[in-house]
Amino acid sequence: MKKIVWLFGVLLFVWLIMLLELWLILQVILPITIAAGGFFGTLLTGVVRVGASVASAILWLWLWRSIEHALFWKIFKAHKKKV
Amino acid sequence: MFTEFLTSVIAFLVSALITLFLTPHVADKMKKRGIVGVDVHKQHRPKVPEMCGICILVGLAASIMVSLTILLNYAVDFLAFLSVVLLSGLIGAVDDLKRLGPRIKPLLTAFASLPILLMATYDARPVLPLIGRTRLTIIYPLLIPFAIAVPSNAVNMMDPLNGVMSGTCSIVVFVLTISAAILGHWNTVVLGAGLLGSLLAFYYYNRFPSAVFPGNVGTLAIGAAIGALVVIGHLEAVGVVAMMPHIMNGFYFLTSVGGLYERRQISSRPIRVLSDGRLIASSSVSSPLTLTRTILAVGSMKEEEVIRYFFLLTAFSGFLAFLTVFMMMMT
Repeated sequence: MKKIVWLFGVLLFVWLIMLLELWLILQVILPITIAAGGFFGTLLTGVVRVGASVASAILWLWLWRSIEHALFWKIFKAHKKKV
Repeated sequence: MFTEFLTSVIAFLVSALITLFLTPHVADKMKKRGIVGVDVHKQHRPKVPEMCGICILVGLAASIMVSLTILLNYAVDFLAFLSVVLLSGLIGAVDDLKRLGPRIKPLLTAFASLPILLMATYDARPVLPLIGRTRLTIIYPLLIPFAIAVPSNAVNMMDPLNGVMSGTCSIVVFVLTISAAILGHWNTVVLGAGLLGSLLAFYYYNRFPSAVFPGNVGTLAIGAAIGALVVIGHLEAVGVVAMMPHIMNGFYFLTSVGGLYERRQISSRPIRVLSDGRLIASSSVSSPLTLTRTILAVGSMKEEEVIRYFFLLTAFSGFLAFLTVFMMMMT
C-alpha cells in the first residue's frame, strides 16, 4: 500500500481541484454576462460561459497529466538510483 | 420502492447466474474455433479464450427483460440502456473479428448513444456538487455521444492485466448503483444491479490467472453501459470521480503516444516481464505512460500485486465519489 501512496495523493488532489473548478465556475464563469441585448446577446453569453467551462476542464486534465508525469519520472529515477 | 428493490435483487441474481453458467461453455466454443488471445504477462504465454464478454451481455439482457416484466413504467429507460449496450457490444464484436481502426472505434461508439438521444432518456439539468442543478438544454444532448464513447474506450484501454477490467468496473458499477439508491434513482439501481451481477460472475473466471478474456465485445459494451448508467441515472459528477483511474489510464496513454493508436501499434511497450515472472516499468521515454507503468514506478512487482493496487485505487475513487454524492445532496 505504501508503494502507491503518491497515486492516492494525486487522485485526492485532482478531486479537490475539480471541486475548486466547480466553485470557480459558480462564482466567476456563470455570472459572466455579455452586454448585448436580444437573442445575439443571450447566445454570446452562453457561448462564452460554455467556452470558459470547457477551457477550465482542459486545464484540469493538463494539470493532472503534468503532476502525474513529473512524479512518475521523479519516483522512477529515484528508485533506479537506489537499485 | 420495495418493488424496485426486489427487482434489483432479482436482476442481480438472474444476470449473475446466467453469466456464471454460460461463460465456461462460451469459452469452450471460442477455444475450439481458435478465438484465443495470448496472456503476454505470463512467462509461458498461455492462450486464453477471447470474446467471452459476450456472456456479460447475455446475462445483462436477460436481467433487463425480467425487470421489464415487473417494472413496465421504466420500459423506455431500460430499452434505451439495453440498446446502447448491445450496439456497443456489436461494435466490439466486429472489432474482435475484423479489427476496426483506432479512429473509427470511438466514432462508432459515439453513435451507440443514439438510443438515449432518440428515446430522450436524459435530463438536461444535471446536478453538480457545489453548483446544484444546472440548465444545459442545448449543450447536454451534444455531450451525450462523448458520455458513451469516452467510458467505452476508457474501459477498453483498462484491460492490461488479468481481471483488472472486470474487477475495477465492478467497483465503479457498485459505487454508481449505491449512489443512485442514495439519490432515489431506482431505474438506475435496477440496471446497475443487473450489470453488477454479470460483472462479478464474469470476474470469477477472469480473475488472476485468467481462464477467459472479455475481448472488445465485453470491454466496449461494459464501458458504454457505465456511460449509459451515468446519463440515465443523472450521475455525471459521480461517474467522473468513480472512473478517475480509467480516465487517468486512457488520457495518459493518448497524450503520451500523441494520438489515437491501438495497443498493438505501439512499438515501445510500457512494461516488461522479467525472467522470474515479475513485471517492471519500461525506462523508455517513448513508452506510453499507462496506469500499470505508473504503479510500477517504484520497482518490479508480481502481477497479482499490481492488480491489487488497481483495485485499491478504484476503491479510493469510489470513496471520493460517495463524498461527491453527499456534496450533491447538500447543495
